[in-house]
Amino acid sequence: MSIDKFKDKFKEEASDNINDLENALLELEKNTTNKDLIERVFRAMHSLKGGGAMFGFTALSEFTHNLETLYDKVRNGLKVIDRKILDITFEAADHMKSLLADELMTNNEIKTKHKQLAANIESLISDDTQTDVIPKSGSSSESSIKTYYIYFEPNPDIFANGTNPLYLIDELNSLGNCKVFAHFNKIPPIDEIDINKCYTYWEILLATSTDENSIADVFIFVEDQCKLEIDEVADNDITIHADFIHAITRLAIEKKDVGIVEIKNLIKKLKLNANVALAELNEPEKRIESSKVKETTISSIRVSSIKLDQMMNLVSELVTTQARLTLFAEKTNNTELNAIVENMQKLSRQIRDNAFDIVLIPIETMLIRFQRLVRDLSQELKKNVVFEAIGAETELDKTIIETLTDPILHILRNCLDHGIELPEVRKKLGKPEQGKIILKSFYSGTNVHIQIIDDGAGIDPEKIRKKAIQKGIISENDELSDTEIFDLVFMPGFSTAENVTDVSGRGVGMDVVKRNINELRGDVVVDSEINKGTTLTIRLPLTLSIIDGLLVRIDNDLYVIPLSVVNKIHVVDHDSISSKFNNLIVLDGVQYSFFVLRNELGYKSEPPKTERLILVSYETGLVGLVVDEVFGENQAVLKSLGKLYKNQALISGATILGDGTVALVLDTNKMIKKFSKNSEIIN
Amino acid sequence: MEKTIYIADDSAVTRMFITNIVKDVPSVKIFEFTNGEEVVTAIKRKIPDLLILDSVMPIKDGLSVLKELKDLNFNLPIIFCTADIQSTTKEKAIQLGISEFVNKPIQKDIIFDKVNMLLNL
Ligand SMILES: [Mg+2]
Repeated sequence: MSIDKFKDKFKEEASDNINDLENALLELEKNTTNKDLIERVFRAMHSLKGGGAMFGFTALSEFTHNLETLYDKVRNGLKVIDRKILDITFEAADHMKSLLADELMTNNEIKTKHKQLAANIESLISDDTQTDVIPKSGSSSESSIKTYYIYFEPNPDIFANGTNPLYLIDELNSLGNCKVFAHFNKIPPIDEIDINKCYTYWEILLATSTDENSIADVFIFVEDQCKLEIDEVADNDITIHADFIHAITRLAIEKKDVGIVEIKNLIKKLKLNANVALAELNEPEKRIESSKVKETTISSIRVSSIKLDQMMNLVSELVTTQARLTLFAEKTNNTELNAIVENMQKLSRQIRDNAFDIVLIPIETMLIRFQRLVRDLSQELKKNVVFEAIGAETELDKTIIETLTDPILHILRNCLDHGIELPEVRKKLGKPEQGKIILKSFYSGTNVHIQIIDDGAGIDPEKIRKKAIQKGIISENDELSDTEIFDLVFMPGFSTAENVTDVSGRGVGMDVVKRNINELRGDVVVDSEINKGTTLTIRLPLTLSIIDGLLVRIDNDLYVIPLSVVNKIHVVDHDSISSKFNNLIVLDGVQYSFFVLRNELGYKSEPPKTERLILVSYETGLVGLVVDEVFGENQAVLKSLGKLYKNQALISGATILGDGTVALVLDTNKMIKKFSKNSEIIN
Repeated sequence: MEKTIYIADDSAVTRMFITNIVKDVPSVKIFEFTNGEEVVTAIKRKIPDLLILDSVMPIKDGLSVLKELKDLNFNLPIIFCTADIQSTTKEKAIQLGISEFVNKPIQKDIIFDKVNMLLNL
């Protein structure tokens, strides 16, 4: 296997690591003392460092090495998570992504950023004074770190007890920050040494949040076989003071043993005690109950998206070929062949459904980017906003997810910029100072709905109306419903912002957002109430590639109507239809609007005597579509019509039938909307 | 006779890297594990001829695995891989009875030789 393959694999894994890092950071921001989260951040750094070095990402490896050191201090209680550390780590996470893409830092901007960030991180590591501590959310019992002096002199025959004193010191080491001074002055001359005896004794400074009793517990089995002294010497961690440790080390070398008196004197001299501020900053070792941090064991494998695309293509071909086989087998009247083909059809349907399921990924995968945007932008705009995701486990076709990320980011930018008000403004309006943006996803039939709900200023329909008139999009006399007015937001060149800010004014407008969503065969609508907030609803199909359809004929052409919208099929007389006034028909006692597709699509040929009226569901209820003939169900593998026909609204794609003919797949929603505008009968 | 090797590392690409080197050792069967807990469970089921153990892993880290194996009185050749910034990790691991030690970033020749040596090939 070539190194390049490893490099690619590492890149994939590294971006997962960075993702997990960001996720953990976002959680950590809410709960800055959570040990599990700190461990997760540490592990991410560690993995990036190790892998980076192994697969030639030297800059990344060195960069994360320093962060690992920083978080090692945090997890050992030598540093607490504060705003500064979080901000720099977030920035670092972004930078790591750049380093993955441009490992040699050919881009000067990245190089500069690298130097600046690395310097900042290094100064954070060596900086012992911390400010700007984020208050923890949730209560936890506070217990600060104290430093203890421990004198431990085992009896010479302690080994006979089955105790290795080094393990005891090791255990002390695990309780906190530990400085150990071993004294060898009692070791006899070499010819007198008994290898079964212990001649060494220790002085230990232990900074820990555990109490004196727990320290004594370490020595519980050797209590009467040693000289033991445990004293509290400082109300904070003094082992982090380099000059203090330096002085002690010198004393320990010069003298036989330092002794508690000397140590206490030194502490007094260096004014290390009663350093309340510092003591407070050192967080307890105590495990705080984590809210929802769960380790997820790997029960899945990674497949490149290219392979998935290939598989989907093959499945498409399989489904198409299967349809052809079915058609052929039916013609032969061979019962045995038909039985086999029927079985095959069942299997390929299952394979299709399975494959379809594989390419579905949860909306969750987009969340980090959204959370980051909300976090970073709200800070920039000095707004206080919380972001919440509901139903993030909802799954969508991966292509949809990929295409959807940017439009949603844009919508969120809009929410933050124009929707959510500044805290002062909100306060005046009697709203909570903290604004809220909810991303809510749920299934609805064969569609997925994604809503972006904010509790901000809302959109004033009157303002939009005026602006639309001013821009010549509508005329003064146009009577528009609120829904129609909100729809204007998506018109090209429309922007409600009084002045285009740097945030949402740049790049794309809402018209592009709508177009992107439309290209996914989706829809987007706005609903808003002044001062209450705005809800933007995106409706999307579950998948793009395969649909179950109803195969119909108009004149000599074949069309597919998605089965998901088909409600009922009626046989109707052409004469009775053509005589209907205003395109309204009563079926089974209910009145429906209907359209004769051959007329609407411009066929000039003679219509058949009896036609079929298909009732399909539309926004406002059931609507009839009249076709010449209905053939039955069909699995349609959707192929795009290509760039040339991208802008037409009636057809969502084409499909190749078993016998090789092409059928167009109708987008009934858009079609009915268009026809009803022409005839203005459905409102 | 076929020899069994367990590799425990939370990084898939690292496992892949090690497996890719070790698979060239004649007649070995390799099993991969993503954390300490998984590999301890596996060892309890069947002791491998060699364990290649990572230090920093979620759920149960390398040192905890070593402690547990020691407590359980399991004696098996272990190569401990670490990129740890704490020098004490190495010392602790040695105390806990590892056979060999490999620094991360792992170098191909080094680990290949150690595996060969420990499998008495
Ligand atoms: Mg690891």
